Amino acid sequence: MSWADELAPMAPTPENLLEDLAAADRLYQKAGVHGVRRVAFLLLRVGQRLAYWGGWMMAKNPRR
Amino acid sequence: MTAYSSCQAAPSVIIATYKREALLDRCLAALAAQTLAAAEVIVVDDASTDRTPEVLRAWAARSSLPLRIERLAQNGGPARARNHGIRLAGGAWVAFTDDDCEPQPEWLAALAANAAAAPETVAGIGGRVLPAAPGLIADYMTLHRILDPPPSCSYIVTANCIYRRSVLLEVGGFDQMVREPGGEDPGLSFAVRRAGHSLAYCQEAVVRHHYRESALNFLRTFYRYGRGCRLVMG
Repeated sequence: MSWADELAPMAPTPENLLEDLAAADRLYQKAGVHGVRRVAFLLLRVGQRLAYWGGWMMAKNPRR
Repeated sequence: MTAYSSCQAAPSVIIATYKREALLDRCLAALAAQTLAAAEVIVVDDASTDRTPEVLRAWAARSSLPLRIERLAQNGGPARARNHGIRLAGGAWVAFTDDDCEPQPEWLAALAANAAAAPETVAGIGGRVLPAAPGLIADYMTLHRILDPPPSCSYIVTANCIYRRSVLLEVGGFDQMVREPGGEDPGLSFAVRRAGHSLAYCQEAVVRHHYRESALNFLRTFYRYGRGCRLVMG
């Protein structure tokens, strides 16, 4: 998944985040990412979703 | 891939840069090693306060790279800097890479060949972005294909792309409301597609991207992506 696929991101509710993490974990397993690295990737995934959502919510568009 | 004909004008290359003197030096070295020479390499210095001007002057003095250096008086973000480059460019096709990227030697030749063979409906072509060095964040970004065009090719990024200059002028270039990196490049892609053009992918055009292995920078990057994308979507 690419970040621009999330241009209008869903609110990062616990349900949404868990669903996304499950999909990401399947990707990591398929790619052979294991152990501590896999945990770190999952943490990065959560960070990515929250940071993107935060930026999206904080944007002030003078054209609106 | 269609071979690039020497009777066709080579593309212009535009790089916006801001306070990345060491990475810019590597980027220019990679451009000097291209198998197809650019018609011109326009570097728009977005009012850097580090040694970027010295790096550029040194390149202009010692290299045969067809370098055109533009320095903006005030920092205004990469969208404005690239738009400045677009106005100056002479090529029918304008390629973009970023100051933290190292285009591989066949990069411009691959983009130019694909551009030459593209139907009129195709206004932009994006390539692959691979990490310059392995690392936790670099590997994460690569596995998630963060900087590669999505399968639908709905957008391409300025780390690695080429556009018809006429179409860039038609849509007004990058949205200058985005003052920090992130969002302005998919915003341009969407504007191009809204104007009735399409985008394509060229996997032979490869740039190597230098990722910063910092969790804080990672979060800042996605924060900027989120903010920028919201801005360009209006």
